Amino acid sequence: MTNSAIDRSDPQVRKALANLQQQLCRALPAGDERDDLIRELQAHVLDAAERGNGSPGERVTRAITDLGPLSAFAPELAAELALQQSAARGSPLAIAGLLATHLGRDLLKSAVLMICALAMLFALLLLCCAIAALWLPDAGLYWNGWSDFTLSFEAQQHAPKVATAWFVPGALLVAIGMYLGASRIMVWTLRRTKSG
Amino acid sequence: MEATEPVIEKWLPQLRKGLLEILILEIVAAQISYGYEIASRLKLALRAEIAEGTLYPLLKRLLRDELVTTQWVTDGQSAPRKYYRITPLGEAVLLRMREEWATAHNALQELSQ
Repeated sequence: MTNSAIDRSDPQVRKALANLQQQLCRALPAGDERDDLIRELQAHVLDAAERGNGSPGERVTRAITDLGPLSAFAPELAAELALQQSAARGSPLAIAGLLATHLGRDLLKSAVLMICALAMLFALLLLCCAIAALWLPDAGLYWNGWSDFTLSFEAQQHAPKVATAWFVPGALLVAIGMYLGASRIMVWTLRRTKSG
Repeated sequence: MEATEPVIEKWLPQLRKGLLEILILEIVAAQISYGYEIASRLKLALRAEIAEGTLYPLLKRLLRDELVTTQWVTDGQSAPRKYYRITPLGEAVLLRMREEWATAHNALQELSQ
């Protein structure tokens, strides 16, 4: 193993460091803190590269790889930087940006969970209606088109009733499929929330 | 034995995440250190490969919580480095963390007997 200073003017080294800078600029909110962090990470890479083998370019590239994938640390860094900037500025816009960074993923997960819960609820209603249609002559689907349909246990005047022979098996299939699909997406989302 | 790996793979990052803060504070409490040095000492202590970039969000958080301070130092031969130094608050937090860790360690020993 060699232990020599890296020549920062080496074209390969400059290219690798510039590439790292570019990726970090894309992933992190602009500001003095970001510039400071990029400088720090570049210093880290140069320190690591000094202890490697091979050409300067190879050593720097390997040191950048050892930082790990950007996706493993950039989101947390972005949140930290946003927090620092918001604390410094305190403006409503900065606070909104901070909330978006911190809550964005959680809000998305909450929305997915809510949609899944609604889909499961609808599936259960559909199932009840399909089962009821076997015994109640007026229960079923009243259909005038995609913008005008009603699931009902009572007779409806505004739309014709879909034949029970079509509605019951179709509704059972849709309800079971929708319930199983939504519950799986829900469990997957909850598992990711838990492990994240 | 292989059946244990998926569970351990999920559990270990969570354990390390909590552990890293106390280990970083231990490192900077012993002597002022820079990012690469902290990463190297952690790898050696944990006997494991860690993605070095993942340390920086932790370092930023320690800085925000005022447990460490930083200072850029230029020594003539190498590139400038940002050094981390523990603060009096950081030392106090480290003492409490050690106590909590000892409690957890004792609990594990007691329950695993």
